[in-house]
Amino acid sequence: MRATTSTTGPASPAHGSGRRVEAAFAALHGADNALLVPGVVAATTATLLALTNPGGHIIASDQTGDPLRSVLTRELAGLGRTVTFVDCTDADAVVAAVEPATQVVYVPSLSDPLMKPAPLNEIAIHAQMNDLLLAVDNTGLSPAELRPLETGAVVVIEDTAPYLDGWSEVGAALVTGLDRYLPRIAEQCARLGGEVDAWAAHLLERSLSTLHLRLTAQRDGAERVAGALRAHPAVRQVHRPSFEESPWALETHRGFGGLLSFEVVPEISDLSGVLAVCGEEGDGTPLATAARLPARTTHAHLSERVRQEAGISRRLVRLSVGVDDTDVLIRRLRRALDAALQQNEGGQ
Amino acid sequence: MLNGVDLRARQALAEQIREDSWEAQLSMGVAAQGATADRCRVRTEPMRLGSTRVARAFGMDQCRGPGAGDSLDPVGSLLVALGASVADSLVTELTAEGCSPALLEVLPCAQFAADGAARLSYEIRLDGEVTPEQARRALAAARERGSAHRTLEEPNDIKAVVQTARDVHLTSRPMPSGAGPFVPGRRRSARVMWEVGTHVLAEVDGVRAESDQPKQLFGADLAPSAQEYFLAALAVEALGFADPGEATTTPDTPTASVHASGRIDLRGPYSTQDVPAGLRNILVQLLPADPTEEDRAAADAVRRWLAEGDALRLVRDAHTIDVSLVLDGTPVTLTT
Repeated sequence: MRATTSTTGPASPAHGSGRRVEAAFAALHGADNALLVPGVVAATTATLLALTNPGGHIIASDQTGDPLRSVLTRELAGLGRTVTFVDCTDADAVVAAVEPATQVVYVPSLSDPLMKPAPLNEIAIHAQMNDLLLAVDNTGLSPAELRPLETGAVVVIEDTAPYLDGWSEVGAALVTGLDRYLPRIAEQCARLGGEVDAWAAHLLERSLSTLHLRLTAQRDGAERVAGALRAHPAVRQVHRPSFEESPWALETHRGFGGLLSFEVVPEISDLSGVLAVCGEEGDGTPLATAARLPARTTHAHLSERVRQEAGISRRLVRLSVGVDDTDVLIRRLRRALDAALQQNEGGQ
Repeated sequence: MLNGVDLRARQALAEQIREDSWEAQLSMGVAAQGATADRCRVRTEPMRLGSTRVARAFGMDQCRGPGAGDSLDPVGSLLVALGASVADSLVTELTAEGCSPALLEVLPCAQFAADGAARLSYEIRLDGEVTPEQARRALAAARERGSAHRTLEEPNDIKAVVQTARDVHLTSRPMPSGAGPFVPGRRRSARVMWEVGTHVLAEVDGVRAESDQPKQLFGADLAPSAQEYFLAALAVEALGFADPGEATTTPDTPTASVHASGRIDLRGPYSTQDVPAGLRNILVQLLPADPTEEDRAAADAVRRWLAEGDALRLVRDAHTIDVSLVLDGTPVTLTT
């Protein structure tokens, strides 16, 4: 793990491509410095440890999935921090969770998998009024859609997947923010160890230059896919943010990226065909889009009761729309959903 | 990083707070509550550093008055605070000089006369690659900008509030030193040994303690800070007067508690600006066991503390602090 050239800390020396990635990412967010860290869990853990003291309290999103959620509830507890999970898309819920020892509000800019945008402007005001630091996980939107530092966040964390790395080949994360906090985060990263290798940094550097172009395509593709899914009889609900539902976002957001999720009707029990649409099945060409079931992956560790309370059902499918031919993607999804419906009718 | 002191980060903070004075305001507090007949439990409370919070989850047992065996008493707590603060200032200055001391000990001492007057002094013992001139410069800086040294050397108003059905607000103003000769009586001393960075180990009459700063102030969050020991001394001494702990209590019985708070403008200790470096706005709040009733006894007890408390008078009144320096076992002459 490395520090930027201008931050202090006992990190190993940054290689050229790593430095350039950090500089490019910082520029995308309007910051001066950034840190390239091997993994979003390590980046988030280091950030939260750096911004809090033993005995400190953190407010985090109740949509936080594994493995980060386990780190927050177990490892951080072992280091003297306590975490309260709340619905961070509701600023009042965040304020209600503030305790005397609260130091950090950790909010994903887009809740995953229910895809609700967090009102960062409002949360930032409450955070400032309560002397709290606002750290934002902007993985779901990327700087092409939202620059959280401009809304009042002090630190931004982003996984390189699905947006920063166009080919999903690099497992890394980037952290940027106000200069006064980055040296502490760099020091904490150095304690956790690890380093992003030069080749991975090189791949990332190439991808970052096309971020805005790719995001435009992914955003448009996600909108079309969401529209097609809403019209399909096998789909009960589509979770896709919009400016109609969140008009306040017009001030801060350019769009909502390429993520969406949808819940199929209760009659469908087998979703394997839907999950396979992005693979080589169907037309024989793999797609850049990724599909997964949160209840069996990121939120599998939660009890059914907690998942239900969070609105994450077993029939919820999360889609990360890539730079694909959207017509092909929609055609495959329709075919898979039709087949799932027919399978159910045949079974009856 | 020499001596565990991050000079670059300190300089960055100094520059930042020069520009943004509100970011230089550090407010802190402790709360003391009776634990046993002769002992209190002191808990440090979250600090406010500029526009951020600093969690402080430390607890320490202190005894209400002098003489209890295995816990610090209020005066002992003050001596730990003085030694820790002086050690912090000295190490920072020596690090800026490029020196790495092999040993740094501060031996603070308080002497009390029968009439309540007190004198303060401390001896610094330094070993290692430090020249007398470097040591003198470091010491001069510590005297000028060390927060505990300045707090004890300068007069301070102490405000107190007794929170009952009708709050009682009291202010204790500094008393001038008596004109008569000082006749030394009781003597209390401590030994504070620097470990690394802002971390020190201390010993007062066989009782061990340690002090450290939060990481936001370049410590390692290992123990209460010097300023928290300062406030703990006042809180515990006030509680000793207000609630001597003579009555036998059960765990369910409500007990009195004392909250002590203060503020430091970090531009004082961290930069060369002409800003007071000592603890300011010292406020002691007593919450009696039953705050719903008007409690004259509690207010009288606090008045008595304001008149007689040893730790209170050390903090409230101005004192000339005698300082001596021993470098590699040899006393070094200091110009005053």
